[in-house]
Amino acid sequence: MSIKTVREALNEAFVEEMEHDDTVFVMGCDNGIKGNPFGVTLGLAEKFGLERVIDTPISEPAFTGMGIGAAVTGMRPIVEIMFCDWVTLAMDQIVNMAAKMRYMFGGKVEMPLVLRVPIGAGGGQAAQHSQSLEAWFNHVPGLKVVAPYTPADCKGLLKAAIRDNNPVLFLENKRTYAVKGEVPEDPDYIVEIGKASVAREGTDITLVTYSSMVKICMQAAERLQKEGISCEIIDLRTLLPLDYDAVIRSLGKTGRVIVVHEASKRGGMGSDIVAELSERAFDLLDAPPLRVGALNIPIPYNETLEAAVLPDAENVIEAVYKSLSNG
Amino acid sequence: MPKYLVLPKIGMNMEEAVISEWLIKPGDKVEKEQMVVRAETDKAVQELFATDSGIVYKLLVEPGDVVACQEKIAMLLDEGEEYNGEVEEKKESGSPDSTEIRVNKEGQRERSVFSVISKTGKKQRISPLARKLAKELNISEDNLYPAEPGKRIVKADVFKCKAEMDSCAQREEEASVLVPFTRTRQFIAKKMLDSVSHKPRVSLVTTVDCEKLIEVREKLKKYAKTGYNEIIAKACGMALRKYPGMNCITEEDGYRIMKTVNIGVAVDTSEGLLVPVLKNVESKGILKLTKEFGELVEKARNGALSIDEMSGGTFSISNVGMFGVESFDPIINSPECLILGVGCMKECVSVVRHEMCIRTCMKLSLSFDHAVFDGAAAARLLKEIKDLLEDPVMMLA
Repeated sequence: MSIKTVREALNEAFVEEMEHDDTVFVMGCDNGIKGNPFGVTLGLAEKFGLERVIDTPISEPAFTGMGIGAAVTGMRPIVEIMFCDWVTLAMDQIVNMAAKMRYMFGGKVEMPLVLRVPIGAGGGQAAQHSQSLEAWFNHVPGLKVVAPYTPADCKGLLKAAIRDNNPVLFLENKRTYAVKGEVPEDPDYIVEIGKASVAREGTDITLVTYSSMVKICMQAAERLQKEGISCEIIDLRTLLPLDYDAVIRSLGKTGRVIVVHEASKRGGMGSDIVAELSERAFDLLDAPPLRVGALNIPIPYNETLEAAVLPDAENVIEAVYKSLSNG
Repeated sequence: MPKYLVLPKIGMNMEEAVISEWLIKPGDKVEKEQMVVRAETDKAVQELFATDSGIVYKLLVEPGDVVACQEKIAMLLDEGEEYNGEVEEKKESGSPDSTEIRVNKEGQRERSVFSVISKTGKKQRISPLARKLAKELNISEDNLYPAEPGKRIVKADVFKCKAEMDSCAQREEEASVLVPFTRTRQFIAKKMLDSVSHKPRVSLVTTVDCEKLIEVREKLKKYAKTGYNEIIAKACGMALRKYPGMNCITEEDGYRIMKTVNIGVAVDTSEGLLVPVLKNVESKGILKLTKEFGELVEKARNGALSIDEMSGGTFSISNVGMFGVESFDPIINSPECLILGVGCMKECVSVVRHEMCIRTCMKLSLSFDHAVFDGAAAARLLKEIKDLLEDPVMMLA
């Protein structure tokens, strides 16, 4: 074990998997010479050459399609959409090709494609560089969607995604690249896709969250603990397939649940999770399940306004009070 | 901020109350727990306490109003507080609630679900978990109420109710012993209930002068251990011979007149009340009855009575005179239609031919089934019994 940032952990996963398997290659805008804008692919080009770390033109549909073609013909491409906001350009490739091909060819082709999609706002990047659009992909049959938070989970899940024969959307939150944590050194260390983890144990209320909001929930839980309110935090890690067993197990303990995500609240993952819990675990609910998310408006460029739109620990605490009020 | 007094729920089954009288008026200072209003519940007119403290700003209900538990009855302010907002008036039943609409953070108008529900009736909200737990723990939702008025009933409220019920049951258990009904007791209970629910019973009471009866018994005692029960049984047998139509038992569609007089005499045993039956009383002498009764009582005390010895009665006698009971109205031993309750003998002042004198007397009460007989018939029978006991030699007639 050693302490690493998310950025370093992801980079380590690339190196290990590229060493482990010659068919693994990286592709995206500025991935090669520049090492991507966030430094995630830094040093890969020197180590593996520009043939395996490909700088692409600025055309998301073109290079996503290239990745799909490579995947069905035996390679294991890792394609980067630099900002989640631009995934819209590649939607046809993702939704109609990557997600459907294996099904439509009766299982005769594999789709071992990883699509890295950095999400999240912060730092005044404005409305077209700040979105978290994971809920769209949750709606599409044929995809897997992963959204880890800790460096260890980022590394373990990226490796699992690369080894998976299905298309996996790998959502990294841009503001978490510097988050530090212990990361196992073992080159065979992977984290199974589809398993949530208990980030904090508690007894009074369950906070279901993922990605950057794990940190926000932790802050809220710390503060609530001082008032004697014990929060259990479930870090989903994978959004599709979602580990409802873990969520329901926790709900059985606490009877109250709040889903917290950075994406805007309306039509977000929270809406789907709350609906699913109402169907599957109605009798475990001691209070209406609640959602915390960004306001249903574009992310402002002005950083003060941006902060007002994004959910913070205060919003989570308010929701906890609301749930516990029995009002 | 205005605060409200609500109608407290002071009993498990209390749902609502009618306001009788206010004990406070606007401007008064009230302390939580202080008695503030008199209200009539199902049980009684009671004084009910304040659920909060403050200065009374306005009374929201008037005497005569029917108010549900937890409903607001008065508005309070803190000392020195000014209030210019609107006062929440008592809602007229049937009129729609003012719909609570607030604007949430996202700028959407949110309507409170509760205001929608309360339009259609006073529905207490309960969480799915609380509802399920209550069902599992066998607690009626009517017994549950939220920690604070207007809130939802949740798991914690169910457990609180359960704890209260448990401690209540435990106290009851510690202070008492539950004795399950024995078979005999169950049988007695069933017979008693059956009689009371099917036989319209009237009891007639008379006083018997016992001077001659005592004399006769003293004479008989030289021959056998004759008790008053046997002599009274004989008198009843003779009386029924005079009114044979009354020696009957009821059946589904009528009553059946029996040829022989069989008299059951209640005997107290350790297993409970047993009623051995003396058969053909009208045709047997007192000494014979004494012998038979002695044997039956012996068997009853030993639990050796046969079913036959306890059935076939047409009349019963229940004597509790030995305990000093003066008079009572016994329950008829169905399907019989008559039972004679015998009280104690005691000296009392009597008036005989304009002279006061002290005589030994006892009271007899004859319970009869008014569905079968009229009062006059029963009265005639009782008079006959009385006459025979006051002058036992007439039993020879």
